[in-house]
Amino acid sequence: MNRAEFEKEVLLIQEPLRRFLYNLCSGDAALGDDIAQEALIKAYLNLSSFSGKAKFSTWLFRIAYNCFCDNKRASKKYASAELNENIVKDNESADSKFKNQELYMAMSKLNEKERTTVLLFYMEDRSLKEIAVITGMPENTVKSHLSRARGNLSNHLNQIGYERR
Amino acid sequence: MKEDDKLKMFFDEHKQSIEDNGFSGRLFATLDVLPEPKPKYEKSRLIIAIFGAVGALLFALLGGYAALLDGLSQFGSVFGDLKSATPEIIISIFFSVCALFSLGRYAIRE
Repeated sequence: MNRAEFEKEVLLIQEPLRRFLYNLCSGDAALGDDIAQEALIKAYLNLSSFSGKAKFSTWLFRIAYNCFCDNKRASKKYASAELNENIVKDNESADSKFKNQELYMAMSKLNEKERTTVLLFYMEDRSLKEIAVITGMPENTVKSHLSRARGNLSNHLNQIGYERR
Repeated sequence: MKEDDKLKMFFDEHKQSIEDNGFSGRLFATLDVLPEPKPKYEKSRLIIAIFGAVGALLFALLGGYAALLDGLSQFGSVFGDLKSATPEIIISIFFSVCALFSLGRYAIRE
């Protein structure tokens, strides 16, 4: 893959990749973007190690997830995954602010692995196999994290009386 | 409503759309100042080529063709009379099959 092809792929993948990282960082857009930049630079410098066994986007997600884990280990900042009011952007509408808060509140009911699998499965429409590649977990472990997360989220949604608007 | 459908709806409803907002531009500007990624240098290919060449040379120098024909004729007679199968023949058949299998796998992978 050359530079032009890489740029084309980046333009396609940047939105889901950044959304995934924003949500993993509990809405910290600046941090999410920093991790996305770091991941994409790493991917570019190691393009030759892309074997083509998985999809390119899956490979990028894997690098991004590893960068997130490294970052988290270094800062220990998101242990509780609490919503920080300061990171909600001013230009967001009241409705999207509310929706984001609702989402991060639900995410805070899950541990990091459950959150990762749920975001990849439900929000980014990734298959179990792809999630296993991205997170480096066996497929059965992914299934059990997802199943536990489903239970926790369902309870939370029932508690808050969530119904489709 | 099923719990799974409810979760799908929840995530569909809360899926944010993220504007580029110069993200790609900043990334490409950073890539401009980075060195070009080095092409992959595969040692394994070089090793396979060297050993393949050495193997072919030894095969030709040590009369491998005659031995191969001899082996094939013995191989045919083994099936004619299974009692004549010596351990050497069985081992050589086993390794031949392994070599063919590895070669096939390598060809498919490449």
